[in-house]
Amino acid sequence: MTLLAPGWLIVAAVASLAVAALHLIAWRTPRREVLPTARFVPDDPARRAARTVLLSDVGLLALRVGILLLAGLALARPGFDTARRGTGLVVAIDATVDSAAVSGVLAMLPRADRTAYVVFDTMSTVASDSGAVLVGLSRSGAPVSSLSVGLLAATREALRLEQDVESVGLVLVSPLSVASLDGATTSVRALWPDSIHVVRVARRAGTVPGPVSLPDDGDDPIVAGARLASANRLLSGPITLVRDTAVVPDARALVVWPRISGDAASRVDGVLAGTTAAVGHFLRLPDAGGPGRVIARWIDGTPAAREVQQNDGCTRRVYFDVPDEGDFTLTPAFQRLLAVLLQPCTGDAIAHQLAADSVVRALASSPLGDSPVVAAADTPGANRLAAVLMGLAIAALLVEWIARRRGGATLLAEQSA
Amino acid sequence: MHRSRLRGSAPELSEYRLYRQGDDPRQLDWKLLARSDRAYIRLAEDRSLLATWFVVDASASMAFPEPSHGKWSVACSLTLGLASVALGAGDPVSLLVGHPSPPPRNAPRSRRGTLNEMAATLRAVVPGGSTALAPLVADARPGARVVIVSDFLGDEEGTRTAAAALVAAHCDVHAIHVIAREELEPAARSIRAVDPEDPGVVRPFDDTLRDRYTARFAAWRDGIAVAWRHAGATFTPVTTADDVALAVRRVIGASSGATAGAI
Repeated sequence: MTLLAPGWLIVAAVASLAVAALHLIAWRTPRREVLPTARFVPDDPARRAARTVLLSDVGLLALRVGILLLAGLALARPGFDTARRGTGLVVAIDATVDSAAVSGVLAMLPRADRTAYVVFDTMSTVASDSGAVLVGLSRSGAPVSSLSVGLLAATREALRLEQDVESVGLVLVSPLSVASLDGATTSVRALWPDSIHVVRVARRAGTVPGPVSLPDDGDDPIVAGARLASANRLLSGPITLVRDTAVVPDARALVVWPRISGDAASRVDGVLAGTTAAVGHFLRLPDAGGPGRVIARWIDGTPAAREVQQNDGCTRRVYFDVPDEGDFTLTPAFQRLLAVLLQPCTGDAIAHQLAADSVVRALASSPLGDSPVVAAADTPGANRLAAVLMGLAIAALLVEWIARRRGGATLLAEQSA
Repeated sequence: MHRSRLRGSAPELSEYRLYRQGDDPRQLDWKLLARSDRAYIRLAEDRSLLATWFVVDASASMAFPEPSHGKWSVACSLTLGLASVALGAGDPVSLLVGHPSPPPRNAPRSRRGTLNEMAATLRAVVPGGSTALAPLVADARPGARVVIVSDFLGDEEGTRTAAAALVAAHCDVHAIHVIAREELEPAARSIRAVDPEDPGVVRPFDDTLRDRYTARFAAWRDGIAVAWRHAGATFTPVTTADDVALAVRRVIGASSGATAGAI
């Protein structure tokens, strides 16, 4: 038999001991006996301390103890599910993790009688063993994953395992990037009442910020400046820079930076991008006035570059160039300007941020606080048994009330006689 | 037969006395006159019958202790024993039972079967209720013998007053005080003692009160013994632990010291 809330049984046992102690010290009325010479008995007060401690009203005591134990057992929710045995473990593995790290994590997992593996990115797959997990990881190429999908699949597997085992644990293996969280993650997390063992591992190679793709033009001052910035780790991809607007490749993050011929007249101007400002000789191009977010402006406020978000990336269009002569693109100010204009798309930048530790702690902790996991799920049989026990307790309470009233009435009749 | 209070001309010689003028000449002893030449008359004791009334208390207190009804059993045994002695002496006996539903009373009789009738009457009585004995005692005829068998826990004073009146009317009154051993030595446990004839009397009783109870009960017993004897009656206490035959002898012995005569 299993008890969902054994604490109630302990409370009932303590209350029973208290009731028994009260019965030991209860006042008792002596039995009436005929004595024709009663008139010669001194008329002293009736109360005397008993020389021996005896249980009074043994029957009533047994009834009251029975009521308390029945109620405690009913509240403890006993179950006789003998089919469940052992422990279960569900391991949810983010497909963007490094496979080598996953192998080490799987080897260190606690042993369980039944283990289920769920590999997820934007979809989930149930794997039968650790080997199938590694196969699944190798097939997944998604750059980001969804914790909501993974937690939902893992919770489903855990509920399925609960039918066969006494307790189920949940392990989450993921880099826990910000992009894997969404608005549904909290609600999905709340479906699992217990805590989750979170194992944070490194991302798989290829999902980290990629290289900056630059044209092969050594005479292009913009390209030269970009190469210098990339070498100085000011740039983080993936980003593709094109200077020849005639050919626009299909890239996740594309910067279209038209090249103006060297005969064009330059003038000293200034470009502002975020907190960066660069002043020098610029070749200004008229703003097409298209859609998109302005990511750089001239000093006079007119747009100097725009970014258009697309489904899986973004496209930036820059409306200026620099003269071929000089080393303006190599100056620190222009390097910073290049870092802004050639940064990854906004979603990608955020996507690669790791979730804060507080978010991870919230994910790991039980939504019910530090309460222990509810091992056995409610079953109709357990509910019926608890209802029967509580019904018996209530019936016994009614009998006790009747017995108490009758005992009081008898005593009252004797006292008035 | 018992000694009469008067001297008469019965055949049994008692003593001689010189003839005085006025004596009955038929009482002259002629043989003594011939031998002594003096006139003497023969005197002898007269014999008469003394009706004995047995007044037996059958109140609820006489049913103690339950379930044996020890006091009632001793009272019946004493009554029958004394009645047997009286009948053996030729005295007629009558039975009066103090009970809410008393059996019919008869005039004193001494015929055969009287004792069996008394025994049957007493066997049919179940002690209960509370009935005054004084009216029954007062019904006795002057000059009779009255034997009162009771625990005197009822109308003791009224009964004693009636008995004193009988003593003044030349009756022999004998009071037999029946006491249960359990009344002298109550059981060693805490109880609520209830008077069967007065339900309003309910007293808690335990070992701490035993000494005081014993003293009060003994003082009362001594008091009524003195009072009954002062009233002119004999007073004999009998407990349920006493041998009934010895108790009967004690009663007879106590009554033999009375001036009214002996059984």
